[in-house]
Amino acid sequence: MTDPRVHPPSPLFESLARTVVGARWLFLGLTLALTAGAAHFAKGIKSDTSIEAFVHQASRAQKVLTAYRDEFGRDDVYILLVEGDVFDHAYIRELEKLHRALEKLDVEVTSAGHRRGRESPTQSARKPPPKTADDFAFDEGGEGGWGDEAGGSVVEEVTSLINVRRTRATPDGQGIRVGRLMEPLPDPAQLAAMKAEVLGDPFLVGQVVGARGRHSVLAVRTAFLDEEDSLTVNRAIEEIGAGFDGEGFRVHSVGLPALNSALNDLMLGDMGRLGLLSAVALVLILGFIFRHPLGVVGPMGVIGMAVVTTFGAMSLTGTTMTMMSTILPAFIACVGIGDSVHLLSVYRDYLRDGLDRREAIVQAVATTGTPIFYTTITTMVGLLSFRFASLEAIQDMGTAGAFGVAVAMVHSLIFLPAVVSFTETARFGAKEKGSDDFLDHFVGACVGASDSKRRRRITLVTGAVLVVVAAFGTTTLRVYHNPFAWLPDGTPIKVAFEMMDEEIGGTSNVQLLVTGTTERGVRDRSLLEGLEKLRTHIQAYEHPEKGLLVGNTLSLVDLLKETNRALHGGAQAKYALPETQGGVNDAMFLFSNAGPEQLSRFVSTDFERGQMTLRVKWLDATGFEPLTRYVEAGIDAHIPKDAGRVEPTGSVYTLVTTIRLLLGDLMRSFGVAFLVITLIMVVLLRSVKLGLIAMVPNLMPIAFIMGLMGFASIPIDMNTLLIASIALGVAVDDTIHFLHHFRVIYTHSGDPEYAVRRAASHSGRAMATTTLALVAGFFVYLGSDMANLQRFGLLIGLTCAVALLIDLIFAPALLRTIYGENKEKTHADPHQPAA
Amino acid sequence: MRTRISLLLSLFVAAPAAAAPTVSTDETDPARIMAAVEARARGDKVKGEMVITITDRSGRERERVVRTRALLFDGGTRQLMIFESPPDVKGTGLLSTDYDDGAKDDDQWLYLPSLHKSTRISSGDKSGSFMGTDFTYSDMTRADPTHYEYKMLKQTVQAAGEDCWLIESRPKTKKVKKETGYLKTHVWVSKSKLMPLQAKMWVTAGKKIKLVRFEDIKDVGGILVPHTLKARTKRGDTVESTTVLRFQKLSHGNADVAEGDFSQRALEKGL
Repeated sequence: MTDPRVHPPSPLFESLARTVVGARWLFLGLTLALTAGAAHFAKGIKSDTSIEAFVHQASRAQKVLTAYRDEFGRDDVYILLVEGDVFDHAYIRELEKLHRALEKLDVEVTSAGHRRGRESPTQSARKPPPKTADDFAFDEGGEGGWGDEAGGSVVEEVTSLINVRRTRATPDGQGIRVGRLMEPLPDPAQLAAMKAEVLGDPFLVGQVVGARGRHSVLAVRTAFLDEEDSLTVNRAIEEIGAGFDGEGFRVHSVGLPALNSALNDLMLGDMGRLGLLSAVALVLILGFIFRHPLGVVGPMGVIGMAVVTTFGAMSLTGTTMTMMSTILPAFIACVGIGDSVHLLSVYRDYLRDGLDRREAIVQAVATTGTPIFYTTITTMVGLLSFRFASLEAIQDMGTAGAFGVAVAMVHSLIFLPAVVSFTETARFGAKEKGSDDFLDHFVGACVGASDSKRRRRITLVTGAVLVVVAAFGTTTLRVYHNPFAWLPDGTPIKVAFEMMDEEIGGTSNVQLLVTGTTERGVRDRSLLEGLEKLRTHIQAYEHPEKGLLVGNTLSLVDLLKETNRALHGGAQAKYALPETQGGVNDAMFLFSNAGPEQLSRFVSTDFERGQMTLRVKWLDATGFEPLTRYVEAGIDAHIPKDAGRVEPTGSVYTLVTTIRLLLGDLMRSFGVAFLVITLIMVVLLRSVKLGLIAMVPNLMPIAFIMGLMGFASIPIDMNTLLIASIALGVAVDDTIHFLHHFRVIYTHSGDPEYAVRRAASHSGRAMATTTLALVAGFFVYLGSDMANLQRFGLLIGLTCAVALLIDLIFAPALLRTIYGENKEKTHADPHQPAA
Repeated sequence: MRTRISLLLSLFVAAPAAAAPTVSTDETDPARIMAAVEARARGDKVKGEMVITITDRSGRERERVVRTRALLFDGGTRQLMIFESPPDVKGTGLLSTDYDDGAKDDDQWLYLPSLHKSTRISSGDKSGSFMGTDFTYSDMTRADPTHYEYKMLKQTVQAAGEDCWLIESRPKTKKVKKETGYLKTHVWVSKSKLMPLQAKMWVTAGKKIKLVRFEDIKDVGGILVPHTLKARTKRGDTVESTTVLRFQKLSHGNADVAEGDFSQRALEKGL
């Protein structure tokens, strides 16, 4: 018989199991109906894999970004880079056709004007709505808004060499001509004459044309779109570009939306393919271990239903699916498999011991219910600790994960018993007593690694040395978030980004939000002069590897300089800020009259706010940090405090500030999780000493994995950050199962050696089974093309394996060492079951 | 090129001129109605003051006050605008001559106080915004009814408490569509005043909607003149910007508005 001292039954879980098995059809129906309901809602889940989804709404960086977008709209644009001889007439003719085709781009979008993720405009908070808004009653005659009208374009503006605005002196030097650079299209002779002028103009080079005249840029601006619509628009732009791609006119898609699109396509493709393979691997392992279809259907059903219910709940609560939440199925798989395998392992032990099917499942739930409950609680605590993170996406992932883990527990204790109760004869691969298989041998060998004083010492010393080495490895951990590096070399978007960096001078944008604090706002000449000095300062920045990092800059200052030159007969010496405040006012007036649409890209209607856009070469997020510090130092040095303030912002800058918070988040969340889990361990194991000992094998896998990441130069980024939380979840689960059984047996027997061996033989086998399934399931991801998915699979697989080894090798050594001293204090015969 | 017809002149609406088709309130032909609207008499030798208020999407406002006068001449129109406030633009002047002859480029002279001289401005861009407002230069141009297809949407509909025709107009050619930037327009034409009271435009670029209202209509020397023009640009439910133009001290037939007022010298001297 299964030893009741190893598995003390819980009356509560026994009662639950009897109810479930007694009305199994009802409970099966209920769980399936609930899952079907959740699946219905899960279809409507909002997905946002953009950078914005990671940022906390209340953060300073997000507030500045929101303020920027309130004034100036989107800070990212769709970009096509066209390679060829720019000043060849055939090239320009094609460029014009491409430009016009993009202007007409019309695809079905539903989110135009709506901000992504959680961001909402601040206009109502900052100022009351304009008085005129209240007066503006307008009955649209039954057809509200755009209606069903076909035509029009989602594109607001395409900027290229064709239409870039120019303010020039007329040839006689007496007047000004405001117009578009190539409207009408120049003839071959005019084009040739234009080459030197265009390539000599710092306003144009790096904005719409490369310095060598071998590349030009088309920037496509749309309204704010959600991630899905943005991907649709990007695909449509790429299709148009591909239609023009040819000899001497090579079209490349580049820019942040294109990168998001490429990552999204590759990641979803790989995750779909490998997720399926991973599931197949889990099925094979479960099939091999339990030798019955229900031994596979049960655990896989638990995982599937928990995942679907979690996404359904996320959809119902309006929680957005981010890149963080893509990790949830993997997490729930880890926990769901663990719960199911432990329950099934005990179930088949009871079957083997001769209990009838119904009684066996009731007793299995009754005896594993408590450790499953505690593993669930501790894992939830680990996940809920992410509520202390500063990034909203991590907070949400923690909440959703905790919910998913709880659902997995409920299904393990309700759905799984109901399902397996349907077989009359299966023994789920149970061996006859005494006939050990490879798993038993493996567990025995691990536990035997500390069965003598010498071996114990070697094990403990080895463990301690490894911890020290791992701790050293963690000191070399670095935060490095570079989605670009996830892509395989030679990917078109990667090639295009490198080309754009090289030829145009940058693929990223950093924006500076300028606020004028005097009556003149950003027209204040001293502020404008400060901005010009700041621009010079920033452009002088040299990256240790990439050299000059900042290419073209665009701001009100550039518009004023160009206008001032035109007002002074085109003299290059006058390509400077007007010398007086009056001159600034006049140049501003001229431009506000001649190019109001363009002006509105750089300055707010009331002139209080302005912006400068810096084109910057692509770097990983942490690589930007020295630049941002340099920019901030420049702001301090050059911007007169009494005239205004300047705040860096934009998607890229916001990402940088977000990444800065990652390590802090990690430490804070871990601190909270560690304290609470320690307390839970003490309560569960009813011993402060055992609770504290339990934390050693809990922490060691985390130290080892983080140390490994340090030595293997695997950085902490948005993806790998969460590996640690999974490590904690898996490690705690294994430890609880092992130590819970140890405590029960030790309490009865007082013999630590006996308790260690019995605990290992009962829970160790289930732990090894779980680990085998998970390692197989996650190592499948090593076949991905994307580096982040490879790391994800490798690290979780290794985490599971390391956690198992520590619980089976190191924890017994520790228990034998500490509890060995108490052996003589016990009086019961350890080898005879109590009466 | 008649693209920048005086805003001031475009305001003045009177009974249809003798040559214009007359329409009854039962008229069902939208083309005849629009021809009658467009062929209305224009005021001449106009003087007035205009307050321009622009509000952007984040609720920020800019207000400018402009003194202006306009004159019809044989072959086109002239308009002079002198900015009164805010202080940074005070004294700035804009003189424009718009020729009926499409082949002839418009003249525009700008007086900038800091330079103490006027500069000629030429622009190849005719479809842009008028001084950053929600109105484009094409909004101020009298539409040639022959360039549009009209459709009567509703024979009688109420707008601003008046019976109106609701008429849809679509540019017949791509050229006109590009020049105006509109895919189509719905216009509510007052049956009693034979003038538009409100309009809705479908803006091609960015699929925006522009709503325009003509309000505060007063009789100025026998001619009906809206003293407030409002325009709002929206995308979906989001308001992009709103412009209110308020006219004050409007008069026409002023004998002191003469050809001499529309010279570089007058521009530099101010009104």
